Amino acid sequence: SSLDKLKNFIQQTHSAKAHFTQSVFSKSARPGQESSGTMQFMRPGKFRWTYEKPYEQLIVGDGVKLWVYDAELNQVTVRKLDQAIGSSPAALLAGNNEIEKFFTLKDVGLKEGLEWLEATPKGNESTFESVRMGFGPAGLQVMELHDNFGQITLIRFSAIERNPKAVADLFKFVPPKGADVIGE
Amino acid sequence: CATVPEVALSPPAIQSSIEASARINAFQLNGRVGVKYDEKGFFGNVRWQHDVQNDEILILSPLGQGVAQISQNSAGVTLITADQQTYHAQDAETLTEEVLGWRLPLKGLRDWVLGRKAAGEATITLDQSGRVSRLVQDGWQIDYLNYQLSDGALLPQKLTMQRGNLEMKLIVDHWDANQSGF
Repeated sequence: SSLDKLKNFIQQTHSAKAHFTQSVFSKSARPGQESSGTMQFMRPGKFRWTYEKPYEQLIVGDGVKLWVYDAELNQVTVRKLDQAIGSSPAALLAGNNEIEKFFTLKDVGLKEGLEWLEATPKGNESTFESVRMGFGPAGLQVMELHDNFGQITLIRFSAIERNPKAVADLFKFVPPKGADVIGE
Repeated sequence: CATVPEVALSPPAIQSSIEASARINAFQLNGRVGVKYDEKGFFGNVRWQHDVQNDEILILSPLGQGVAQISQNSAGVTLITADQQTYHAQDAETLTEEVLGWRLPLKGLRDWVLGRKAAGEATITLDQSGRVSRLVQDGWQIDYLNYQLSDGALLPQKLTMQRGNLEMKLIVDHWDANQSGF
């Protein structure tokens, strides 16, 4: 079942690298917003989510802090990662076996040839409603995020590389000179 | 990052595209907003739906997840945070000041975002092709750094706003604007 797929995804995929496409829909707005980029993570708590199109944004979890940077706004926000693990789907991806500490996991069956798992954050101050993870032959291939405002984000991974050679400082973030850094 | 081609238009074409943006009374924009006051603030992606009766501004994380929603209609303004706390007030200015610690000038912003002055006194500076380059109103200084053409209307692509120690930057990645009378 998808629960076993998640368990061995966590055990066998210590780190991963993939290209992703993201589309964001909502009930009221016209067709969603498309974006794409590359994603990398290393358990626990380290990830680098680089948006290349339509504009440059970056989310980095360095194990201690969560950094978010927008190049054109030249602004960085930073906050502690442990608060974020329950609130950021990106942190869920790089979570280790304590995922069950923060999320209730439920197998929701087969769809589009993938085995789907639904993760619902425990505790009430989470900032999103649920995350669905679709597992296929290449491991985690699709993530579907449902927030508390009726927004749905669909992320498809491709060119998935499992346990790639580690790159030094990949999960470190140093704010560029002149950027406004906000937060603790 | 995505560079926006400089808008090359002859003066009469600019004139008509400025008039087109003057007729807009409903729009939806997708973009990014950054707010900074002293060492605090935030930034996020933004989706703003506006028509004559109401506004809905949704602040989103890069992953497209809602972080906060401000909606205004004739009954007043409601702010809902990501963890579903709800706050009400008569107008957005007092609501955001009380809850977020900075003042969102929504009343003026509805016009400023379109590159035009709101009702009341304002000082306007035009660039050599007749586009608004700076607007000073209600104690705010708004600088228009770039424009884009959307369905024949000349609309801002990047603007900064300043009032005292509060700075806002707004980048509009996509306009959907309908002009009255069509």
